[in-house]
Amino acid sequence: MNKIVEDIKERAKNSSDVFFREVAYKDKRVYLILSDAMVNTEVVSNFVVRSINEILRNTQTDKELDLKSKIEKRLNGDNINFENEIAISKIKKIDISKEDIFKYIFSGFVVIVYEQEVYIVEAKQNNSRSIMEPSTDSSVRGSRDSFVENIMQNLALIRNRIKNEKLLYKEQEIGRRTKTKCAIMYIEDIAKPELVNFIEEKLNGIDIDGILDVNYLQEFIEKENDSSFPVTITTQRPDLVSYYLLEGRVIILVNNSPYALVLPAFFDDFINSVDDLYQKSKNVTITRIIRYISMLLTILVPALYLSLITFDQETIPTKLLISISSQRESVPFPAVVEATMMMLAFEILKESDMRANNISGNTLSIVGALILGEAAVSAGIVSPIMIIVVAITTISGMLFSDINVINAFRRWRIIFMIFASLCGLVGMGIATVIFVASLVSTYSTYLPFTYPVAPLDITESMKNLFTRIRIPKDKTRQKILTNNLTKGR
Amino acid sequence: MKKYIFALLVVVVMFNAFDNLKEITNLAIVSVLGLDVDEEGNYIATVEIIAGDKENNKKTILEKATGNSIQEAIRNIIDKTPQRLYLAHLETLIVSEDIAKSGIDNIVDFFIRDNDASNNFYLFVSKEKTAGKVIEKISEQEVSMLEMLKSSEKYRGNANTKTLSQCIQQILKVGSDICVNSCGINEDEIYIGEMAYFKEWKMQGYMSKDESIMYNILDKNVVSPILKTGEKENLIIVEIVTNDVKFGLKDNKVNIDINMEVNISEVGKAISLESKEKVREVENILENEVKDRVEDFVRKYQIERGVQILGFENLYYRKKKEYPQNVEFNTNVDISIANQGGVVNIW
Repeated sequence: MNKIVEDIKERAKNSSDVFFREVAYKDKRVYLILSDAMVNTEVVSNFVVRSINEILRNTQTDKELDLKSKIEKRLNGDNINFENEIAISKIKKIDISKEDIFKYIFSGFVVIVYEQEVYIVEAKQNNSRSIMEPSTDSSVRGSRDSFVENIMQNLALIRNRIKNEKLLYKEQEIGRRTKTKCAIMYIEDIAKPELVNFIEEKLNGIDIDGILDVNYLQEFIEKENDSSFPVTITTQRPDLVSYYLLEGRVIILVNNSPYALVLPAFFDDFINSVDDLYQKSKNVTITRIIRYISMLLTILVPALYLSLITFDQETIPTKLLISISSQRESVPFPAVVEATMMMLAFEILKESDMRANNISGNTLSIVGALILGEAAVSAGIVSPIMIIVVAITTISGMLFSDINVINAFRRWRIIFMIFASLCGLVGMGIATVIFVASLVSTYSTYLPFTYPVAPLDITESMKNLFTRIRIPKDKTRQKILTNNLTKGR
Repeated sequence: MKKYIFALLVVVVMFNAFDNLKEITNLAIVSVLGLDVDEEGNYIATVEIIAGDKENNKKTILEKATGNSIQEAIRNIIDKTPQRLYLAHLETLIVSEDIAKSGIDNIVDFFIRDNDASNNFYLFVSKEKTAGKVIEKISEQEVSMLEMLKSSEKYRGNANTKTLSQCIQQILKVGSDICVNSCGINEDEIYIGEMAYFKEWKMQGYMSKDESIMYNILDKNVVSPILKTGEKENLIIVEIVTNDVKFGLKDNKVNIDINMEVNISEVGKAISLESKEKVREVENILENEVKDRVEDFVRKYQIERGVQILGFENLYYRKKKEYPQNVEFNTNVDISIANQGGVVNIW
C-alpha cells in the first residue's frame, strides 16, 4: 500500500466519514480519499472515478497506437496528468508535506493519491441554503437579498453590485482547528491604505483555535476598546455593504456567517438606516430627527420619570402631577422599586421572546402582555403611567436594528436610572457627562467614533447627519475615509 | 486611582442629594392657600389640597389651622393630614383685606425664604371678610382661580397675571408700587374683582372697574379691552387690537406715548366711516377720549393719592433726578382703526 495513504488512514482511523477507495489497473493503483458528508457522491462517481478509469483503461479501445506502449505511456507515473484529464474544473496538485490534507478532505475535496503525487479535486456538496430576505436589517424599498453562510455566495452578491477589478477580495484562513475562510474586501483606489494595513495587521495577529462567527473577529478588532457601543457594523445586506465599500470602508466576510463586518463604524451609522438611501431625501430629515429623538427617549425616559416623581415634582405641570399621584396611590412600592421591577420584567420577556421557538413564542407574548399590562395595573402592583414609560422606552428602542446598539442603550438606560434614583435631575446631569465622555473617547479602528460631530466636520454633518444630501449633488467622499475625494472616479 | 477618586466624588455628591427624595404619594399638593388673622393677631391658614381618586377625578380637601406665625399656622395643618404639605404647586394665595391693609411684607418674606415653595403663583386680596370663606367656595365649586384670572386678563382687561415674584420685583424697585387682583363672592359665585392698589407693602383701597382696565392698559400693555365713547347716536365701541405704551422723561416731564390699533365693534347712526377723512375724525374722537381718561387716571392716583403704580418716581430715579413735588406729564395718544368691519371697503 501507498505510504501516504497509510499515513492518512492512520490519522483518520476514528473518523468514520473519511472514506478510502482504490482504483486499480494492473499494478498501478490510484487511491481516492474523501469525506462522505462533504462531497457530492454523484460528482465523484460520474466525473472523478470515471475519469480515472478512463485514464487507466481508455487505451484498450484505442486501436491506432500500440496497446502496450500506450498503456505504458499512460501508466508511467510521469505521464499520468490528472490535471489535464479529469473532467472537473478545480483540480490542483499539492505538496503533502506543506499542507494539511484534512483541510481539503473536510472542505469537500476528493484527494487523489498516485504514488508520491497528491491531487485534490473539488466535488463539494452544496450545503448552503438559498438566499433569503434579511431577517434583521429590514427595509421598505431596498433589495431583498441577504448574505448566507457560504462565503462564495456572499462574494457573488457583492460582485454582482460592484463589477470592478479594483474591488479586492483577499482571503485568509483563521483558526487553528476550524481553518475558517475569512476575507477582507475593499476598493483599492478608494480605501485608505493605512486603514487596510491596520485591519490586516489585526487579522494576522489573531491566534485562536476556532472562528465560528463574524462576532469573533469583531471582538479581536475591538480589543482595546471597552466601550459598550459596537465599533463595527454588522449587516446582512449586500446593498448596504456595497454602499460602504464605495465610501472607502473595509469589509470582512467570514465563511459560515451570514453577516459582513464593516470597518470603521461611526455612531450615526447605527442611527441612520439603509432605507434612507431609497427614500426622498427631503423627507428623510424628519425620519432621522425622529430616530435621534427616540434614541434619547429609550435611554432617558425611565430615568426622567424616576427623577421627576421622586425629586423634582415642581417641574411637572400640576394637573399631570395630580394624575400621576392618584395613579400611584394604590401602588405599595416606592417608585424606584416599581421601575426596576417593570424594566426587569420587560427585559426577561424580551430575552425569552428572542430565544423561544415560534410556537411557545405566541403564548409568551400573550402572557407577557397580560402581565406587563392590564393585570399588573388592576392588581395594584404597578401604575399605568409606569406601563406607558416602559412602552415608550421599548418602542423607541425598536427603531434600531443592531442588537449591540440596543444592548448598549439598555446599559446606559440602567446607568441613568441608577443616577436618577439617587439624586434626580442632578444625577441625570452627572450621568450625561459620563455618557458623553465615554462616547467621545471611543474609537473605531483608529478613527473617532463620534465623527462627524466630535471632531466636528461641518461639511459632512451638513450632508449626512440629520439630513441626507440628494445623490446627484453629493459629489465628494468623506475625507476621513478616503484620499480619493471625487465621486465618479 | 483617578477613576476611584472620581467615583467616590460622584457618590458623595449623590448621597448628599438623597435626603431630598420625596415620594409623590407622600405629598399633599396645595393649590390654594388663604391667610387670615383673628382678633388676637394669630394667623389662620386655610389650604385646599388637591388629590385625585382612582378614576382620576379631581377631589379637594380643605384644612385649616391657626398659629402665631405663618410658618406655625401652616405647620399646624400637617397634624391634620397624613402627608407633607407641598407648596411648590401653589397657584393662588388669597389674603384677607385686614392683612393686606396692615402690610404683606411678612407673607412675602415667608415665601421668599421657604425653599420648597415657588413664587410663581398669583396673589389675591379677598373682598369678603375672610380668605377662608372664599376658599371654601372655591373648593365647593371646583373653580380654578388661575383659569379665571387668565380669561379675565385676556378678554376683559380688568385683572392681570403678575406672579408673586414679579410683584416682589416691582415693589423692590425704588418709586414703584403694585396693584393686586381681588376676588369675592357675589350671589354664591366667585368673581374676580377690581384691582387693589398698594403703597409700599400696604393696601390703600380698590380702583373702579374702568380704572382697573386703564391701569392694565398702561401697565401691562394688555390687549382686547373694550373702549366706549358717546351715547346712542354718537356711540363708538372699539376693541383694542395692539397696544404699545411707553413712559419716558423729557424736559423733566413724564411723557406717556400710547400707540393703539383698534377694531370697530359698534357705532351709532351719526357716526360715518365712509371716507378716510371721516375715519380720521373718529380716530380723533377716540384719541381725545383715551387721553382724557389717561390723564384723569394719572392725576387721581399718581398725583393726588401719590401711589407709584405707574412708577413715575422710578423714572426719575433711573435718570438720577429728583422727583418733583408737582410732577407734570404729557400724554400723546395715537389710535388707528385697523378694521371697521364694514361691508364696503373705503379704498
